[in-house]
Amino acid sequence: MLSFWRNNYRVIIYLLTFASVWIGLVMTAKLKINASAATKGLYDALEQLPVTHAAMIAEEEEKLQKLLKDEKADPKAITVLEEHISRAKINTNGVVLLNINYNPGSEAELTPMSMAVCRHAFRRGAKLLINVGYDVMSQPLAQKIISDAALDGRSVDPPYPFRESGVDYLFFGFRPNAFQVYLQMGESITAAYETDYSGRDTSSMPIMRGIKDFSDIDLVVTVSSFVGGPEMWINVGKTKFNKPVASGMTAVSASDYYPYLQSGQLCGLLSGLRGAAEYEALVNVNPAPATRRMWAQLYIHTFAILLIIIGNIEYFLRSKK
Amino acid sequence: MGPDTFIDLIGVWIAALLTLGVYSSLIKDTFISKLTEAVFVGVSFGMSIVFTYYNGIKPKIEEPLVRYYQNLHVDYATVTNAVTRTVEKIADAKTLPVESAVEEELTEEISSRAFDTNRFFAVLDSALYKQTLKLQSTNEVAVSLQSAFASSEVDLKDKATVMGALNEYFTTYKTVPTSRHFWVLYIFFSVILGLMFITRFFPKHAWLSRFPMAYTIGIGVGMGTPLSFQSQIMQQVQASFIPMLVRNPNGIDWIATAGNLSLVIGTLTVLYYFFFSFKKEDAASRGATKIGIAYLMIGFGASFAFTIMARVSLLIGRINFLQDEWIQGTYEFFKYLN
Repeated sequence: MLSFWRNNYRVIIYLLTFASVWIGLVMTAKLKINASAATKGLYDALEQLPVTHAAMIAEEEEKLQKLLKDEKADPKAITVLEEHISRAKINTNGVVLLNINYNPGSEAELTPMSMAVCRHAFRRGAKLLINVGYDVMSQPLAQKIISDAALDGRSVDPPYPFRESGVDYLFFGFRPNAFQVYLQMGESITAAYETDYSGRDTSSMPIMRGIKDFSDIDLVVTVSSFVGGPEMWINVGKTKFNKPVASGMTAVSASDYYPYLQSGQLCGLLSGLRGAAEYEALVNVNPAPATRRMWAQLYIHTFAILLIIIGNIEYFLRSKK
Repeated sequence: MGPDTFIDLIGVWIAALLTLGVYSSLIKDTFISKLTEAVFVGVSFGMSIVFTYYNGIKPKIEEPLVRYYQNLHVDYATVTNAVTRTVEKIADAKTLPVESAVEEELTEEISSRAFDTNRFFAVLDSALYKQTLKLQSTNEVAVSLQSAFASSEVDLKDKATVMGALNEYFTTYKTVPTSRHFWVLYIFFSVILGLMFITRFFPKHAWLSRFPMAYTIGIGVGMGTPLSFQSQIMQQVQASFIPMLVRNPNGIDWIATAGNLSLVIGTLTVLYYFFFSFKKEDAASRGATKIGIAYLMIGFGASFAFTIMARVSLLIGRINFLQDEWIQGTYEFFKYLN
């Protein structure tokens, strides 16, 4: 028995791994998922967007009144503030910038997450701007996610109506030198992205009425599988433009980013497939691809733990001999 | 989820066979596993080149240069006539298209303000000096002006003032501004700098590739360092200055206190472990080092567990694809056909 195991253990382990995933995927029973505080951070930020947006307008108006009373105030600063308030009043439900920065290698973990965030933003009625980061291969993935989420609003409870490109959301597509592009967004978003994904002039789109530069964005969500991807948005979005930033990432890199959550530089963090499943549970997504895959995760993790125990037993048996 | 057309079905089958081809390397490296790896790398690079051309070179270099050349040779009177006609039409319409109650309120507010010539000129500049605007096309000029005025805060209700300001604008207007000529020089400089990377293929001239590399690294470091220093050092250090005793309305919050204490001890002992300037022979030093190692091990363990979870997720994704789109999708496709 032991010799059979020693001669064929690789094939047996592969087959059992395959079987445990397969069984997990055919399971139809509902799995109860409790959302962690990190996931709830992003959910709450999106859910509270109209409230925080209104609070921001009130704060800016107060600042404007103070400037108007001040005789030494710079007229240019007053004009900038006036224009910003006017734009902010158009975006009643807030503006979300979603940055998709991963390639097909991480699709299994990050697509359900991006999709759930898109659906949530659409349901809240927020204007959604989507760009892609360093990897050009993110573009076709992002395009599919956005168009699927815009078309199918019945997969969440409560549902939302059809969302139109250029009116409710805008997909900018890929631009080389992402960091410079992000910084340019601080001056003018339409200058950074003169055309959208399909080559249409962005400045003439209805969605851009009320959106000029980074100051008009209320929340940044970056879904990234690359080392340094979330850091870049912490640098640009949080440190430079002082906007709340949340990040979704593969489980491999999640442990590196919890310190940013603790320091408040990230307002939410979705970690791998589990983070995606937690977000799906919060948003009430059905069918929920990440939640469905959690059964497979459960079985394969149990199998991995069993293998560790078996490996240790074998080690002790060998050392006794 | 499954394929809708026959072409989709072929795509799904190719993807499924390539997936199995990659996994076949688990048993043994074969011609098929090598082929699938080569296809993966080749397709990725091929697609990257095409996407980079359409999203980078075409909109940022090719189209603006073509427009620049065309706009240099455009008839000045045709452009000014088109602009005059469009601005007249917008002024005649009195109000801009309004999409919501909030926008209506804003439009009223804007109407109450005095006509601002500088803002009016700024809107015209933003509409007429777009890098990709084709000035020969009166339609494109009209659309650009309409959208610029629609999103601006300039009220055009007093037509006489507007047309007067427009005539004033035309006294200095050029179809191609002087800054655009410098911009073209900058584009050529950038293209030459980019092409210098290719000299790496020619050992004799490979030294030239150091210039674009130095330029790129210099800009990256220059722009990134202040931000990185602030967010990855200053704010992280600031976040580690936390109260050792956390109080809540009911007294002491023991869980939060333990968490904060653990964070401070962990930070200090791990930093101490990496401090190699003197020998750590006394009991206190050895103890602190051991605690630091324990913290590091917990950290590595968490990272490793997360790594396993991530890799397993990828496997689940692939098996999910094989089950839903390949097997079930193919079955449903032919069932629907019959």
